[in-house]
Amino acid sequence: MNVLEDAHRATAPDHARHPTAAIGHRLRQPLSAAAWPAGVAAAALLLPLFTSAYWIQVLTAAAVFSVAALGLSVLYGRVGLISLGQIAMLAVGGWTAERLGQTGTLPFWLVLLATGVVTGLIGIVIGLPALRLSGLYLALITLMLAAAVTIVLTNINFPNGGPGFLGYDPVKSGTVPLARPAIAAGDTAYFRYTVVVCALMFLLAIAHTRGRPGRAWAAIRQSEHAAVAAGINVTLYKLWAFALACFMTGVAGALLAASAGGLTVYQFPPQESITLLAALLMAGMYHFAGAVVAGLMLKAMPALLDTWGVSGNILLIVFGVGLVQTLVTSPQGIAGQLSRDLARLSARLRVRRTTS
Amino acid sequence: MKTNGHRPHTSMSARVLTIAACAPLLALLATGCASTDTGAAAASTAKPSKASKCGLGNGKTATGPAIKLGAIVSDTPGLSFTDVTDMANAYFSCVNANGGINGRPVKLVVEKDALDPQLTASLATKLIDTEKIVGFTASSSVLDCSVNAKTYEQKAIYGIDAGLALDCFNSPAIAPINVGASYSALATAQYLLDKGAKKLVVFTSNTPDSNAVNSSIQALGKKAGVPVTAWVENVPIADANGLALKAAQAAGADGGVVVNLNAGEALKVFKAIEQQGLIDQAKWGCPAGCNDQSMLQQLGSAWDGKLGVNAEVNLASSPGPDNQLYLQLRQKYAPKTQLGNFGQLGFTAARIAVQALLSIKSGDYTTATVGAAFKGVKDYRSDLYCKPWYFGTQAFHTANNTTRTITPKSGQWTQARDCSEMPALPNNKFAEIRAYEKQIGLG
Repeated sequence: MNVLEDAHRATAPDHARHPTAAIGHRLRQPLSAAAWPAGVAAAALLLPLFTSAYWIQVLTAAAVFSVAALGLSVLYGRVGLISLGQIAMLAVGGWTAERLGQTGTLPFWLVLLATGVVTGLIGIVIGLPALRLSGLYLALITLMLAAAVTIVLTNINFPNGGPGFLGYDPVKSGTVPLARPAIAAGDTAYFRYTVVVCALMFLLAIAHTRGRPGRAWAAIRQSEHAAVAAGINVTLYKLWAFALACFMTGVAGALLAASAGGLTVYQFPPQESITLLAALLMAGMYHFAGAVVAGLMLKAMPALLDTWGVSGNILLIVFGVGLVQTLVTSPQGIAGQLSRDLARLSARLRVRRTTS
Repeated sequence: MKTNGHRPHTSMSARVLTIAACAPLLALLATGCASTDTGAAAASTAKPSKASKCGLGNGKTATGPAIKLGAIVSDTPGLSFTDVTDMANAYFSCVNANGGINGRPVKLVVEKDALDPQLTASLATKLIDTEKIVGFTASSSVLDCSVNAKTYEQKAIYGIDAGLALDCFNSPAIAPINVGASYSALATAQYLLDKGAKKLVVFTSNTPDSNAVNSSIQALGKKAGVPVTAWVENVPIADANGLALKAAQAAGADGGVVVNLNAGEALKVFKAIEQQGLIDQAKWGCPAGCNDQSMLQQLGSAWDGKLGVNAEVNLASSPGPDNQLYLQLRQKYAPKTQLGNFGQLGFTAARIAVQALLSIKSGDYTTATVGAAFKGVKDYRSDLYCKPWYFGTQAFHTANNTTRTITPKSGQWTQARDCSEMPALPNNKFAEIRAYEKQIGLG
């Protein structure tokens, strides 16, 4: 048991710790969880009207990384399975999408879906060790897997229109982005497309956590033995969680492949998964809104600091300090704190209204 | 457009210096001054010339709205090219203190990227759309050309940059002032052949261009009729001793090895070669990435005259007026930059850009006018270059296609070989480039 797990058990929201609480939570607020991604999507769709092309590209990357963070949030925040291979899965998604897109026959939405299915299946394979391992050992195994993916990609490279199964032409240089759909050829249109797809991924995650899988995951998270005793198929639901997380991250990788710039092997170092975990813990591991905040922290914060003339590298220090602060004072992260503060404000306003 | 660049050896003092330097050699050796393989530090021993001036050189501080140029530079731990932009900024500071661009200051907006194509793409958008730059100067990014070259072409925004990837040399919108890693490796291989290598071995760090680099050297070997062994090496190097032994064995007797790694990784290999007593087993060469002062300090005397390093520009100890100005500005504005290659490249890019901007007489500095001025640069001469530099109208640019080779000697880089042409091969465009140069009167 590591420090993060201790903190998690102590602070995870009720619906993550107690299956019955999750049911109650679901019954009380059937639409609230779905409302905020819809709100975020609506706001994001309007954003291009008020911001520059530069910020459109930055926010596109932030949206993609929020889905990668969402995958980790599902695995660790809901099931208690720590994975340090999410960035590698993003790379696998990007490679698969570029290779599928290179055929030129599949529509973009089908490339997204097929990529998700491929990475979802890979997720099941990755999930197999998770049936016997957890905590630090699982983290190490997924980190080694991420390193293996990096080594493989370093040798095979991302497809660039070359021949054969790998689709890589060694003589040709430059990055070749995945072709965008006709309705989202420009950066602004592609940002909107990305936001819509990302919102769908969030809704998919919410639908899972509010249904039978969510209750099973919460039970497994609390005690695997108790879950088995309660008749829950632990093997199935653990693999399901890995498949879902990798499906979503794969789709995010496909979106990244079509964003400005294309893909290179350099942008997916294994240690980036640790940064993702740190950002998500600070942003709020146990709230899906935390994944959005994590995406913004990873991609929009450096851009904001750059605008202020501060090096983005300082974020690694900020993340380190912030992580300590989060674990000590606010384990539910920024999203949890915001959610709590908003609830308190809402309650006070209600009280004031009734008394007046 | 004829630029105001300095012509080496045209001033009286330079001629006198040249004759003075040649006379003893002529007397003793009855050979020409421009020996092609002297192994001597001829340049470093000559008396320095008077430094060139910055821009208008009138001592008046520029005022008014700045003319904005942009640069994207890679800056990540272990891979930083900020010396290029720092020295470009040093030159612009000097220009702004000396009349600016016809009275207006020039500002270089520098954005630092990492190895993230999305970031590199967004920074280009920021510079063009938000900062409203009118051209690029001294960009030195691993990914910029691969990611943004098409955007620059579409938006007709031009750059005089320090190119790293091959894409920088194959864009109508970018004219690199340097040779780049790929062609530098080719020039190094040619040097080893000229030194008598009967076989070539090359190992290149695994980057998107690595296979293209190796293919180029294989084509050179085919042309020269020597066998070539080439492979790609993942960095960081895990087993430098094993790699050194493998390379020496592959080269065999009279073989030449191109160690195509960046300075830090190459140093590991050179140290391993030295420790295993393999220095004299083969002829060793390294592209321009090894032209690094800190590496020189760590190589040791065992390598004196035994390692040929391709140099994209003249020695930092050379006496020419442009190099003297570079040395002065480095000391005044950018003392933290490494002495040599990257700083000289930034200085040169800024110098060419300023001379292009000064040619705009209308006072209207837009992407169109600046682009036209950049494209109009022809016959820029500098003591840092072997021959005139030009932008040109072709879809590919490698105006700096004649380079020197340097070697360590007593703790200094010294010239091992004077200016030599890059070999024209079926898989490069040097034949077309030289035909074009003849066409515009520079051949």
